[in-house]
Amino acid sequence: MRYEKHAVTIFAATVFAVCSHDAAARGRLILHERFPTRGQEMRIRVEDEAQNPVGGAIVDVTYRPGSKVERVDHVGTSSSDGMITWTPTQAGIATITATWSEHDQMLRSSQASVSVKFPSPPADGILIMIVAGVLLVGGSSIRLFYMLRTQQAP
Amino acid sequence: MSLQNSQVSAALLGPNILTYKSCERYNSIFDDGLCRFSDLGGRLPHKYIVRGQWKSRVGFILAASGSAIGLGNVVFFSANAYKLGGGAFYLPYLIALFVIGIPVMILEFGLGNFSGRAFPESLYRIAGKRGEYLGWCANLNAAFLTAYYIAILAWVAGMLVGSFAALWKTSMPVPAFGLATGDLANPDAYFFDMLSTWKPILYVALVWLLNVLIVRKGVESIEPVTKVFVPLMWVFMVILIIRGLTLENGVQGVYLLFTPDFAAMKDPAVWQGAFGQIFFTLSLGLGIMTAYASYLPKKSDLTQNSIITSLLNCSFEYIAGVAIFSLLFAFAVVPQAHTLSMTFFVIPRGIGELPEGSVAVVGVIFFALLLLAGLSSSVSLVEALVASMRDKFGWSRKKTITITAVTGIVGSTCFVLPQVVNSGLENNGTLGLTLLDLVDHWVFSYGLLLVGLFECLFVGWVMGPDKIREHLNVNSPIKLGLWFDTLVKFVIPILLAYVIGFSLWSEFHDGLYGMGYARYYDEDFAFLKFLPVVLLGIWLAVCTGGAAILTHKGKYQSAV
Repeated sequence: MRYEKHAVTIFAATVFAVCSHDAAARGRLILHERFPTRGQEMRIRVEDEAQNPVGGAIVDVTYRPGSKVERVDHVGTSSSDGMITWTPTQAGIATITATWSEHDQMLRSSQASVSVKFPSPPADGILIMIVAGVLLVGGSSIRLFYMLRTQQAP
Repeated sequence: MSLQNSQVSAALLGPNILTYKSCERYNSIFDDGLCRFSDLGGRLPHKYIVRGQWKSRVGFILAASGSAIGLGNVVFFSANAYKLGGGAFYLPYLIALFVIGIPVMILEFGLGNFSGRAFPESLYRIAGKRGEYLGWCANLNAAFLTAYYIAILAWVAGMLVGSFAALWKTSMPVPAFGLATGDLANPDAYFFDMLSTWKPILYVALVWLLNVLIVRKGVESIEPVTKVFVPLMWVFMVILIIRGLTLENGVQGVYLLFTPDFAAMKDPAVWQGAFGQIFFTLSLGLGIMTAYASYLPKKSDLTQNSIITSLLNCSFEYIAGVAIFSLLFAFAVVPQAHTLSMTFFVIPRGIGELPEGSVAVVGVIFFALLLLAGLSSSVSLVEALVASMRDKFGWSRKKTITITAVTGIVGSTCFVLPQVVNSGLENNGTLGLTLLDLVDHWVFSYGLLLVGLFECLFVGWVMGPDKIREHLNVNSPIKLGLWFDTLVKFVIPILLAYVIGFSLWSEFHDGLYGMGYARYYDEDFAFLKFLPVVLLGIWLAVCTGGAAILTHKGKYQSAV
């Protein structure tokens, strides 16, 4: 049984973030790949609410947002056709944010979340997965099997 | 139930075995027609309490692991793992399992079985009134937890009802927050609409009723239910894991979960989170495992039982992590918050992205799984409270359960109060959710860990861990060595003191938890700015003052 100590603090704030995103967003980001790969370049197009390309938008990316290892990188500024290239440097979930101002000087922004793939299966990750699996799932299975087979008393 | 000798037709068949005709009235009769009293020390007491026993080792293991496996295993582990860096969290987590988790589980099982009593009386037997006081503190802390845990389960029940249809609509209005259709997407809108009504009180009553039905006959009614619930939970989780891994790039989520970030592992908060997670996920420091083990025969192999229970719990977490991370990755969902948002927003949002025909089915399965997992835990919490009170006051099971349930329903109702105190939703939204947030902080960040710390100190320095160790080694092929004594006396107390100290330092450094909420309350509820202080006072007063009253009131029925 577990339940997180700070769970609720930012619980509703999540909803607020969703609302404010919807209310403030005045455009959209078109990602040319649904699952970009770490180290491989991909193209992003920034559009306003009328789906026109936005030039001069500042594009940032937040890797693993909301975690202890969160990191924000500045990607660059979109060109006049709204295009910008991004080479992900970290695998995992990332949030891309584009910010720009229009003629009325009001700031506009748009945000999209994307999952960045590992270029190849990570050896250290697979090792930990196997060790943990053998220790936990394997260990409990063997013990349970032994217990059921021998019909031990409580 | 305490019985006068004269009321019982008893025959002493051996040092620990009694039989009497009225046994079946107290639900403690066994296949051979005998009732066993495991810790009478060869004497028949003037008064004694009829205690049930687990009928099978499988039943006990499933019940104990069912207690440990709860809402937190399904969603908290993944939220914590994500927050603390995936693989950077997983290595410390594994270390914590073997350094703290399994040893404290062995300790709590050993205490319960050694004494044959629930937590307060177990500690009373090793450390007198001081020990009993700690036991009641743990029980009262657990009572707070039970109240809001069942409130969360009530919301889960509400989401289960909604997952048949309403939850999957694109959006819906939330009048209490002044939100029209389209202002807030589902499932968030459905959840806050439910929260701002009195409907959850019905669900609270329903969940408490289910708990009462399951614990009404003690271990005899808990055992068959957990034999169905726990395997069902595994089946549901396997379905989720298959769904997650068969999604495009679902397996990449698994890499994300296990791939370490060694730079992040230098952060003490990661180790604090991992050690805290293990302590909480195994339901330690609540008196549950002690109460459950008190229903085991003396000849039980407690060391193996502890290892199997701990490994089963963490195995479940392992596969739950795989299932949830694969969903998160496949749908690029950002888990911005922890358990509650993961449970009620993030995962349902991921499920909502599935092909139309399967959304409701997977949604119902998910919330049914959560409800089952939560029930198997809440039942153990209720039973731990009931067993402690019966040990002390000798009340009938019916009376004890009635008192616990009535008090519990009142408590749980506080956590589902629907008054909107933050209509902008920048913070917790309703009064009930705010109360839950604040109380949870004290219960989990301090209550459980302090109990664990003092429990180790009492066993390590007052009783002597060698006594428990010898008791455990008699019936187990796995022999505990002197390392067990070292862990109980030094290593675990130091680690727990470090975690508690780190939390306290954060409290002083960042300000009392919850005081920052003041800026979010609506004007009419500005007076709630003192709520964190008031609730801290209530929690402290109930846990410490209540424990003092219970410790000094009456004598144990088993005392001769």
